[in-house]
Amino acid sequence: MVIEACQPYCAPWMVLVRKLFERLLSAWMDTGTADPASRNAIDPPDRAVLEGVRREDPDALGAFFEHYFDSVYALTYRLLGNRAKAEDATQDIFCKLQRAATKLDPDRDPTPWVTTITLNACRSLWRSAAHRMDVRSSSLESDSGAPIDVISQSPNPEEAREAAEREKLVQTALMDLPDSLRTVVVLHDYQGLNHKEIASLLEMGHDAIRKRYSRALAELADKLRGVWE
Amino acid sequence: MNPSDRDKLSAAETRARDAVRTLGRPLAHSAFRERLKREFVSGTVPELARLPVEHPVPWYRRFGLLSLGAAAAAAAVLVIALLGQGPRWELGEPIPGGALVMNDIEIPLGDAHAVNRYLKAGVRVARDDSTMINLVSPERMVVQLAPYSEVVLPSLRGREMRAQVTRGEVRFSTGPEFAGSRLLIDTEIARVELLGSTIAVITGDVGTCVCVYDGSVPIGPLDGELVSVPVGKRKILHKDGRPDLIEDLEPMERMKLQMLQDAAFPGAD
Repeated sequence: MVIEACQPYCAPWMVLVRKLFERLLSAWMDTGTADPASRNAIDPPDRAVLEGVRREDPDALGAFFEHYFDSVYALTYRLLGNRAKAEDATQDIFCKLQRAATKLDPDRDPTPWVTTITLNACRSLWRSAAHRMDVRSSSLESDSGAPIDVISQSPNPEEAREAAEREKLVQTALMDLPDSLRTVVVLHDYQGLNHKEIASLLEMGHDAIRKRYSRALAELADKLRGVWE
Repeated sequence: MNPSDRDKLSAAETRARDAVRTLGRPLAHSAFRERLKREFVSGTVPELARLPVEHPVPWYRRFGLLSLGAAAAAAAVLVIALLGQGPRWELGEPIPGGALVMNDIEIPLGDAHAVNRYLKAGVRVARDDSTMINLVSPERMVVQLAPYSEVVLPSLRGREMRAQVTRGEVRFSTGPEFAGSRLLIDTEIARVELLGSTIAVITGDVGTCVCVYDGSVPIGPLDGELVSVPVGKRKILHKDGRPDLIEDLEPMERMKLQMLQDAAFPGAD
């Protein structure tokens, strides 16, 4: 906007600078950075905690658990759409974390590693015959349709109830997406990861992730159309 | 189309995106959380029972499996068809006149194709004419029906076979393919166990006479013990309860059996 206001007074080479700036801006946007306000992204725990985890110090393990539990549980819930399955997956994830605790590198942020383990746990559940049978019989004892206990942002009970209703509908629509599309949209818009980070987590190309995200959003919009009307 | 155009969202997409962004954080049951924390801190998180993994089958492999299934089905049909053409009964020599009665249906002997179609295991074959005929399973067995005789043909599959001589004179001669098999021949009162030989089974009003031209043949009453009858002998079992009789083969019968064996399996001992 500033550039546009100045344009009449600038020399023609400034147009080139503007184009360059726009290209940089577009490239930055192309990483698919989500709105920071919506992020559930997690900062790494303190180095002391990570070192303690390596030594299997109970206090450090407790702190590590508190640091990641909510995020892991929330992500599994959003991907699996079911409390029982989310609990199973969370237990599986912490079982794996517990086994690998001594190999933790305190110099590196363990969050991507934790997210990878979370995704793998969800994927192995999706691949399980039991899950497929659930989906086929569409009797997903889905508490995706039942009220979910969420951290309410609103002090007004009426607003909180409406928000809970909306949550249900959105979660149901998410569960209607194919697993691969749901993963990308949840990681991007719920978990707050950008396309590059998702590409790295899923070991896919950046472009492929962006296309998948566009498709996921289009399908989700289609499924939610009735909700807005 | 530059990247920013491509990422431009419609109003509905923007709403959908914002809806996901504003989803709350689901709370786990406190009991679950506490238990898992306790187990994690003490290093005792139990491993879940592994769920059986069902790997998705890609479309091309699905297509491959379908083709494979179709090929397997075709192969099975082919095998069954080939098996259906395995050992079977056929008329020995074409005979211009007369007929065979098979399961009470009269088939002219001149129509060899029709005769061969009806000649199957378990079929009751009767010859109500004055000439002998041979029913042949190549390399396996020849069944010779004398005039006014009737036999139920044995199956040719497996190693255990059963036949019945219901009237008249029927001669059996086995070939090299019969080796290792056993044919039980029943008459009204007797049972004969054929393990590889040439015999005649003659039934009449008196009883059953079994003539052994080759090999040793166990013979006995239907519900009694079978006793081996040696080469060149015949055994007569009476209907009226008189004791069984074992005596030498009659020269005429010996000649008939020899002719049958020589014609059917030349070179056999």
